[in-house]
Amino acid sequence: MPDDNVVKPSPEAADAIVSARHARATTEAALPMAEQLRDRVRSVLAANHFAELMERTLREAAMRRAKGLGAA
Amino acid sequence: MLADAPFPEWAAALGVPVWLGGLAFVLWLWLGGKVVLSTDRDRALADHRTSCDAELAAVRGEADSKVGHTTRALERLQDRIDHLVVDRDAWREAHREEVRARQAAERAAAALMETGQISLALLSALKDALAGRPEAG
Repeated sequence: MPDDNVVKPSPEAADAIVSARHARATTEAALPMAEQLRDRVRSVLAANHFAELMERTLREAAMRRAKGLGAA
Repeated sequence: MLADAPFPEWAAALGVPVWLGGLAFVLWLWLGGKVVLSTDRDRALADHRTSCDAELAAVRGEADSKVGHTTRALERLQDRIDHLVVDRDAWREAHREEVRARQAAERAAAALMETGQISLALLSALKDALAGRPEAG
């Protein structure tokens, strides 16, 4: 049974609370997606760096092997 | 001598002196005046008391009316204060929620900015790779 003597806030304040909670829920729902996207892009960048390093290393090894074979 | 005096014969027969009769008469007048004056004073006092009671009742009624008005005004003020306090708490709660939403938005914006910067670096690397310059980046 609701108590009629309970003082309720003004409609503007109630609307402000609802709006702020909605904004908070929306942003907090979008935050994990943004962080996940950042982590994925960061991992892609790291993989790219790793691929470049690997390619450079393999190319260096191939050049050294070619020089060694040429000297022999 | 006694027969010529304005004095009752029975008093003369009883042997009451004239001065004693006069003294008794004067005492009677004095006491009678006192009784009359006292009665008048009592009546005036009763009238004054009645008027005072009426005035006191009027003042008391006016004071009760003022107390009632003041009590109602205080109750209205208390209601307004209660509403203001509840409203203030509601606005404070809304402000807290907005602050949390803004903090979450700032974190999301920072993550997106970092994503953009990393994407730019990736695009630059891709551009260099397509241009045949694998050392760049």
